[in-house]
Amino acid sequence: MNLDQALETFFAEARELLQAMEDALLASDDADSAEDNVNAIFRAAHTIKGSAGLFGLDGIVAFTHVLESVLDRVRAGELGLDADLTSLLLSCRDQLCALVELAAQGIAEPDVATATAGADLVQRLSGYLGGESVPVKATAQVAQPAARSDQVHWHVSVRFGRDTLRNGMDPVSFVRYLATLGELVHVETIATGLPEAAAMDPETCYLGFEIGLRTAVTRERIEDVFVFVKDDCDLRVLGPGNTADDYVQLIRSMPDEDTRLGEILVSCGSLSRESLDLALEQQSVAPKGMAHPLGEILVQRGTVEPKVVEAGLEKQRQTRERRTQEGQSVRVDATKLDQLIDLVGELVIAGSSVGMIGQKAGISELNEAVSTLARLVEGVRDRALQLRMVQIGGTFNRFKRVVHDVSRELGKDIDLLISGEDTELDKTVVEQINDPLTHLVRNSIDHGIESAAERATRGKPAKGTVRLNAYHDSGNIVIEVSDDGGGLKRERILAKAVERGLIAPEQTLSDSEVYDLIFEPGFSTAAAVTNLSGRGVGLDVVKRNVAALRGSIEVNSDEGKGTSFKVHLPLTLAIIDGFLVRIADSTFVVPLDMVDECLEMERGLPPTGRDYLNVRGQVLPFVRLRDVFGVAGGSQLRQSIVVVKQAGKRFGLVVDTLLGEAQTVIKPLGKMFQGLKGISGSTILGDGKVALILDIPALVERVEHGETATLGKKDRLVA
Amino acid sequence: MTLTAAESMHDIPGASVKVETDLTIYSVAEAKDTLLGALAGPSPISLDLRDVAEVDGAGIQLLLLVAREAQRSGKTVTLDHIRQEVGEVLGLCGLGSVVSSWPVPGGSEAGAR
Repeated sequence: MNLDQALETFFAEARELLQAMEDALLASDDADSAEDNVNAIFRAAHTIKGSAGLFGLDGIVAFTHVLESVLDRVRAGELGLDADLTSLLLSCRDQLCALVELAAQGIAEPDVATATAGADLVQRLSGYLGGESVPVKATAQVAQPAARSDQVHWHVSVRFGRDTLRNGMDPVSFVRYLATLGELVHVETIATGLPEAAAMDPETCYLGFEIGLRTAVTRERIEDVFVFVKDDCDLRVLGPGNTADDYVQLIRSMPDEDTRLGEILVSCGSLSRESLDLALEQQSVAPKGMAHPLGEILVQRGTVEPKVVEAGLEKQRQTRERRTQEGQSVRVDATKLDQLIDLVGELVIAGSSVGMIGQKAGISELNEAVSTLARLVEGVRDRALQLRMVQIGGTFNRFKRVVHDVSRELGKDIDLLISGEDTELDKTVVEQINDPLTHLVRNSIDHGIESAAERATRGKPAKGTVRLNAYHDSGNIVIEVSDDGGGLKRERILAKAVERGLIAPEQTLSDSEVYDLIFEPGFSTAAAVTNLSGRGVGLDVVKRNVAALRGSIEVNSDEGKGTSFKVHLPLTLAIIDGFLVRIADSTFVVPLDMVDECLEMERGLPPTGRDYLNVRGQVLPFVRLRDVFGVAGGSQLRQSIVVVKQAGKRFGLVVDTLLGEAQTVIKPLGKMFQGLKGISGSTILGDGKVALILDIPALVERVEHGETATLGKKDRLVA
Repeated sequence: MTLTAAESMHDIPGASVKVETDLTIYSVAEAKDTLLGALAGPSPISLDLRDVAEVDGAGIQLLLLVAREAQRSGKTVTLDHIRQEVGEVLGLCGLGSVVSSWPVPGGSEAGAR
């Protein structure tokens, strides 16, 4: 019925598990948590295999089975998790990822490339399995099988929840899967819950099973088989570590079935006939309260093993905790969230329109109500936007893999240091920043960090370091990728730029201007000077991608000590607090977070051509927006300067009038206007007019490059 | 014993009902009426499963319901022409030995084993 939904859950969980597996693999050289990591890797593989089995995804099951066997040996301490095996396991994880994604697309048979890769990996994995069986370390926990070949008898008692069938689960498939774990001694289908024929709903599940199973797997793995229905089924797994007490309890817990259930336990091979008879006899003789010592009698007589309740209880507690944690979060479709944000956007626009009408009407009660409403809308907006905020840690952690792979590939020993991983930013931004960041990180490893020999001569530690850092800065998020490598060679970049005709030989450039050259398309290619080779390839793409997110990128470099790329990004792409300004009849929006202060130019502006001011002893460069956008008309008598801050620099925007704050729903510009410099989007004001949102980073660039000319007739936006 | 399965039941007079849909969650709602309706016929009642290619948990519990109802009304029901796939599922659920012992769920355990 809801099979698709159940499958979706499976895919989502599989992806999470694969992520967990990757994290654990990458952290596997950490000695402190080595055991936890191995267990985490194993659990991930095992759960995926189990769930895939339920859905009949045989390809995944077959592959994971081999992987699991190897992991089992690692877990048992027979195999060490060295760098080679870690790499192999990482490849296996990728293969599994590929298989899961294929299955998610409904493709049962992997394509040739995937299949070949899979066969190759299985081959390599088999190398670790070997033929000989090494005795497994004896474990204290009775709940674990003593050794691989040593099959133990388990009794699985399960009653499925009423909605199991409706949830797309087939009770029979669980039995089928259990059969793959070992040998089914006996299966008894229990349908005592079946109501009268007329009342019986064929789509409601009344089934249960009593199963005797001989297997070498652990209790945990048997319980994991039922992980998809664990919340609404009554599952008991009895085996080594359980006493006859537990069996009697099982019998008692099902009052309608007790006589029969006893028989079933015997036929499942889970209890001997003698134990049962004895148990029932004692039960009938002893008064109700006295029934308890029965188990003890059995233990004394050596009928059953002593109880190890402690371990079982601990496990139960953990499971319960995990369940409550799961209950605290809800998975929501991203499109639903987007729809919500869109609606909130419309609400903001409609709200400000009401506010405007209220002010015109001059009814104080209405205005009061409107301001309350505005406050609430603002609250709703913030909460809605927060829903989309995710921590950047998840993205950062992915780079552990990139660093691991690239450094192995290049034979460099590199550490990745991550900080600020709890910095939050919009999900859309996170998704789109991944590629540019990957590029920067690869770039740092490949070209930033020198070879070990070179590092040694410079007196640096042999192990290179790449840092990823994130923090909030005036309404922006800053993501920093830095390395302790050789740094950018200013002279070489200059020479190259002159050679390519990007700059004139006699031109004097500041450091940052020089470093910006590496973002020029195709600036340095394979043919470039050795130390510089590659540095810069594709960086123009990075810059373009970042710009598309309304962000900017900045390079700092210290020759011989390292390079740092700082990517500045807006927190969100949907709704911002805006500061409205007017030039003649046109309204513009400055993102409020970037506004540092406003200055009133009482004595008028300096003459054209001198575009800087002395503000409290500091130089403040500014741009005249009127000139930039070629706006004509309007009074220029009382102009103001809005001081904005971008990437630590302050500069001014000269405007005619300050209008104050307003919530701004960002609407993208039409295709025709997307190439415009200085404008990042548009918004609709309360009175229905369109206002343009200023692209502050682009304007900063103009100031820095001293371009004071207007955008020209072609680009002229506002008449 | 009220319900038995046999490969050939043609010589025994009684109702034969051909089950024409699979016995899975997708079809059990309609199959329920067919199967319970079949119980109205004279005993022994033969359920012809030659067209049933698939049985799942929903089908299993429906068959168990039919078995119980038949027992209550003192009739015999047999499953005929069980296909291999279906037989495998029955076997997996411990109902493989339908010929000799068909466990009857609930009610009195008298005929259970």
